[in-house]
Amino acid sequence: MSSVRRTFEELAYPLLDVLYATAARMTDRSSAEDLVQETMIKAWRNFDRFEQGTNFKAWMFRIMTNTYISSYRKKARGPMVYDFSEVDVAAPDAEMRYFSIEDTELLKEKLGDEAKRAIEKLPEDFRLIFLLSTFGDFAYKEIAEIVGIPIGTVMSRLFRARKILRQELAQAVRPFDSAAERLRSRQAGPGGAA
Amino acid sequence: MNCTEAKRYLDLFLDGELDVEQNLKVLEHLNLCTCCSKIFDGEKALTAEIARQGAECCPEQLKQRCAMALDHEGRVAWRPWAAAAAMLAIGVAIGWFIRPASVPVIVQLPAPNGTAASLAGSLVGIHNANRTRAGAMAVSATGGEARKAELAAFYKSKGVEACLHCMERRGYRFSSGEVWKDGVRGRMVCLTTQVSTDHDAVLTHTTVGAGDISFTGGAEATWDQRPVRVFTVDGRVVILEQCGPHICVFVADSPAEAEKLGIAMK
Repeated sequence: MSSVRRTFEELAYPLLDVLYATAARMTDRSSAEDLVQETMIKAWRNFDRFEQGTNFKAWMFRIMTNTYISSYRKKARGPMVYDFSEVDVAAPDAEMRYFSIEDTELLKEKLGDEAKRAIEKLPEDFRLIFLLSTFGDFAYKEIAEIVGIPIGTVMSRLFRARKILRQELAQAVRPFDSAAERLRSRQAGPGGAA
Repeated sequence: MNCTEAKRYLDLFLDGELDVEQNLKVLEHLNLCTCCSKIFDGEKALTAEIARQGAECCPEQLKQRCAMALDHEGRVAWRPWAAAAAMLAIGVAIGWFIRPASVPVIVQLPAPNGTAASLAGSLVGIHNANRTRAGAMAVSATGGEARKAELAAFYKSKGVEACLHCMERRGYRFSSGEVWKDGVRGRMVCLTTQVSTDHDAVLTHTTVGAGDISFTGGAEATWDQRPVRVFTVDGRVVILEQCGPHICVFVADSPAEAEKLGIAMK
């Protein structure tokens, strides 16, 4: 084996788990395997263009993201994903449900596959950003470079994704809570629930 | 800083994206406010939990596939001139461009009209590559009808309509199936490989749209009384058969194998 190949493997193989975990959330299992394999091949082919000393993990994810967008994204996409970049998502939302540490502790026991399901339900563009942040552990700037979008868009998509997830998970693990709340607001009558 | 302001910074704080000054202000508030402190801790734990639950190991078999693909690439990568020359020769000779891309071989048709001869040429290239690839993309199956059903399900999951012509009564059984994402004219195309049950022979079969290829050229022959066209390329025999709106293309190892399949030359 050539030393170049060995260097490549030393850098790339440790990333296979996180690449695969991300790919598996973006597409079905068998396509995820194809996607990871294609990413590895493309990375190897272009390895001479990788600048030593720069972020290899971000480079790999950029290749995977481009490959995903060009070949694996669902064909029937309909209109482009809503652009929330104009919305001031950093504004605190009165209805935002946050998870306190007690909630999270409780949720851990009940979480099961709910988190997976909730992530899969996210719109594709939000999901990608969320995965790059949560699984890839990338900074906003890195995500912006990987996906090729402005930092503001990264932030708006990420915050929006988290908001959706919080709502989904709150509903999933606290169905009695929300049912009780609905009941309360109904009892309060129209206009009563301020 | 009050609670509303602190929550506005929650995501940025947890993502480590605040500057030192803002960070300090949030920390000061969290020291004073138990309520916010619990929320910040809870949200942090939630993200960590989601990441922990989502963590997955790359399947061992995928690692092997990647290693095989890199081996395959390596041969091409380190002999760029040989590879380029070979591709050019094939490309010029038959008007097709064969790219030993990833493990699934990708065929691209740059010319507006493909001829049956050019298709035959590229499929022989794929057949030969396929023979030596030792089923890297093989769908694991038990054989017989189960394998056929499994392949059909595999193609369906990839969104391709595939003809599954099994030559079981001629002594072949399905071995593997694969999908080229960017097959003929950018359309998905599937390829199935069948292997002989009693001797070393491989038959590959693919289906292309009748609009993508003309059913002309080659030698006329019959296959169980049905008209077929036969091309011989590098000792391999390519059989084209009109099959509803498609053309099914078979590549047999040799003229003797074609004869065993029941091809009768005119």
